[in-house]
Amino acid sequence: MEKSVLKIISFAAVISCASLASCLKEDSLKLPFTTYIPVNLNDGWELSTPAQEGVNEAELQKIYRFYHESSDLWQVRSLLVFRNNKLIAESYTKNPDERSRPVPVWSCTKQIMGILTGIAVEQGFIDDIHDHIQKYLPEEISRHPDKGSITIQNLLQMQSGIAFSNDGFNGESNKLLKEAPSGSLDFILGLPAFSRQGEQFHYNDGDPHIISAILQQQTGKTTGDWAKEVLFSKLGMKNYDWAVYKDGITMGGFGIMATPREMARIGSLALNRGNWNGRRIINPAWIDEMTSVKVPKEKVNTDAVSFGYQWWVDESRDIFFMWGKGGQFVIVKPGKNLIMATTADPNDGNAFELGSALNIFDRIDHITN
Amino acid sequence: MHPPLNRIFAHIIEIRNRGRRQDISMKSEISKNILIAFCALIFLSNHCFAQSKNEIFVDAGFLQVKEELNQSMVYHGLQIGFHYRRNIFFERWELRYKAKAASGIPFDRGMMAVTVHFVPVDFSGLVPVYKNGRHHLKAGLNLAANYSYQTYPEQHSAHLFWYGEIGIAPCMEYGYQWKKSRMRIFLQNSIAGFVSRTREVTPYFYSFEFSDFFTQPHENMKFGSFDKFNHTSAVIECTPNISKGHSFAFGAEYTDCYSGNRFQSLNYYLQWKKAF
Repeated sequence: MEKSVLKIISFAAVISCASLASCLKEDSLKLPFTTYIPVNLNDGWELSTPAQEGVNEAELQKIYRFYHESSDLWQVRSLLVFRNNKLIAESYTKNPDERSRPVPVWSCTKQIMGILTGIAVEQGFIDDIHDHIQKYLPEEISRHPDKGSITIQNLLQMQSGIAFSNDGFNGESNKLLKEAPSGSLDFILGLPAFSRQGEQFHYNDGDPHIISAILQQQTGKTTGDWAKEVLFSKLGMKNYDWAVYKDGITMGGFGIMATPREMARIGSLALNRGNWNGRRIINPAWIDEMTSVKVPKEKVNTDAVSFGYQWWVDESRDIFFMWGKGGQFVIVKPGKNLIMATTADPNDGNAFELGSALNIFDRIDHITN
Repeated sequence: MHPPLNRIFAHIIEIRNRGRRQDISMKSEISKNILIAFCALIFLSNHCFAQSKNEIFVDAGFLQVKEELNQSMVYHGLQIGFHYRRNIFFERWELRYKAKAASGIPFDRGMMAVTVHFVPVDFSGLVPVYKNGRHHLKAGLNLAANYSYQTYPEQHSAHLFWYGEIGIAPCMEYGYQWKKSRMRIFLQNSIAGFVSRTREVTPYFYSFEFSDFFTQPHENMKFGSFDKFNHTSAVIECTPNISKGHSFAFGAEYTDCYSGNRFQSLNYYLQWKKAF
């Protein structure tokens, strides 16, 4: 009998091993590279070729091939290159429909808040960025008087001192994503302070959200509606959406969905110091201020880059950039009239982070005369 | 913010919540009735039928899940399951009730997922169709409600992905007995049923209430057959000594839902069973 049992157990073991070899097969996570030639969508972007704009075509093709074929870059979704305000190359690694289908660009929303603040100053909705927020949010500050002396500049520089955490399951960002607090502004202002305002850099989603609330208070419109009027429509942006919290405040720290082509318009606006197709949208002086170092990299302590007014700055590369969670980038190099835009799938374990994006950008920069 | 805007938002939220409350209340009522009917059946089975047998199972398996809404990435890893089965023998046929709960922690590219497989109701009715000496063959029909949940915390925060299935499946069992030992092979394949799948992943806002665990897998259920899903189960079981009640089994369970966003899961497992 024991022999029979042994036979059956052996049989089961053999089946088990054989089964392990029979697995669900993973589909390829990226499409094979075919071409980087952009498609004319009549969306306002002028198209050109790398050669015409002084970019080495053969080398650029190698970069695109690497982008599509590298197994380490399984998260990336798109790579677009613009030179001299013309789209010279684009490719979508997962789905070509994303050429016109918006995707979440997460914290790239913050850089748009930086631009909108400048427009608000120019249009007189904000008198001075050194003003205390108490001036613009008196009702809310009466409930949280300890936050009254925070300035708009503190918010632009992520130096409010409010202990808002972007990270983790219990982080404040996660609570906002779950729409747990009934009022987003009271929730943020009600958090404890971890330092005096203006002293420490603390990257967080709360500070730009307070700016959004101020813009709504001052303009009498949601930040999204006002942005459409003063910025997006002027840039010809159509493929985008902007999430609004349940209390009616447009999200300031994240919340925009857009195509990489649309995001690149913001980069181009910054590159051209507030001009779009020769039309002045915003004061050039604000763009200069916004993209200059306000918080040096030693204080930022993140990937050796500095911070301006909601914009990231890398002085060593002479670039400034938009940066959204998990690989959403618009990197601008004014010295070469060069812009690179990427989108990717965010994840906490194996993301397309700044180092990888800068590596791709450096290679493109290197082949650009 | 302007007061009129406040009022409009509050009104929209109230309408949404009211509809949600009514929906949840109706579903809770149905669930309550099913639970009462089920308890009554178990109670009656103890008192009205002469022969019945209880069995508990523990299994450890190699689970693979493939979720279209997660780029069709394949997560794989360990799943542990616990089952309870009650066999009720009538003169000619046999009714089996089974309940199962299993949980797994599969990985892909160093990222972790958490899966839960829950089968609250699984009835099989079997009748003998062939018997010759040591061999027997039974055939019948299975009715089961399967709920499978997945979360990918590192990719989609707390989003819950689900697959709900209430279906019927023909089943058959071949048994061979020699001396004190027995071997059984059980096969089952779905033929028709209702399936529900996660429809989309919301990009930003997402909230999950405990009741969603029950309500979501019943949302937007679609009836179909092989055009909607396929659920296959195969088990080979060996009982070394029937009088001792211990059994060992190797099984495979494959689920493929192609109604909406495709979901596939495959679990190979080794199982220990104790009858009492």
